[in-house]
Amino acid sequence: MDDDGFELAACLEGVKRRDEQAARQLVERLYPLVIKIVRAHGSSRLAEEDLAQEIFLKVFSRLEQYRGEGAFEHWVARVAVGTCLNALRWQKARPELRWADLTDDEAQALTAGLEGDEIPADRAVAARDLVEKLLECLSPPDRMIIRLLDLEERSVEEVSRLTGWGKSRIKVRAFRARLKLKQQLRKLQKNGMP
Amino acid sequence: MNRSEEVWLRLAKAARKAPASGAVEAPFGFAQRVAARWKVESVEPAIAVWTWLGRQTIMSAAVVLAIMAALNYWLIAGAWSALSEATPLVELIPIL
Repeated sequence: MDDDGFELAACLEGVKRRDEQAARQLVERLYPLVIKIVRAHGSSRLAEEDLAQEIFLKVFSRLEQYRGEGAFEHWVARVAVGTCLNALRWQKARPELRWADLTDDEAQALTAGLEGDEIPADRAVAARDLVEKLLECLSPPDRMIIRLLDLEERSVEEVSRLTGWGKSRIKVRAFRARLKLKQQLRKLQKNGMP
Repeated sequence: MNRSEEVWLRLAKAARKAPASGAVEAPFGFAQRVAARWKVESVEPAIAVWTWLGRQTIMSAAVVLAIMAALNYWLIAGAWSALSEATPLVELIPIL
């Protein structure tokens, strides 16, 4: 049992018995994890809730498949990542990012980065927003790989477990995605930097 | 490591320090909506099975009916022709 009195095993049993109250508890419990994954995949704010709902329905319908091997949260994360990838498969990548697309703060964060300085802590939010814009230039699977590896600092093994993809596939995708990001940064620097 | 790669790493490092955006609490009523939809959707397949079974039963009955009609066609047709060829029961007797 957790500090707040939540008992996962009892809750899962409740869901298997088709108890609506248990299902509600599980949704409330897992919402932060699921919404983090949904947001990490760059879906629009409007679609976030729909996607989260779809993930929970999948989790409930596949609950019998969870054998208790490994943490339940990891299993849910795997379902969530798979659902997000399927849902966003047809989402198009942004063709190009231009200097004019950046806010003043983002431009300053990028200038600091280009000049070789450490980006100050008060520019962290701007840096994050800029990174999000850069990631929009990638396809959803590439975006996810880079986010998991470079932003969440997960290992290739972890990413492999989450996505079900082989390690070499992940490494190749990450390499190509970083190449695209570097090209975007070069273009930004060459064409737009004031 | 080339310059663009260094820039990317610096940006990623700074982005990691940014506080998480947006609320992480489930919106009001979200859990209830999901649980209710789950209940409805898991009942629907059971209804769908009964609908499917009903449709199959009706279709099977129609096929059996058609086969029975085909098999008994000659019997029915024969009965009709036998009736038409039979001597009339009432004979008209001319009066004088």
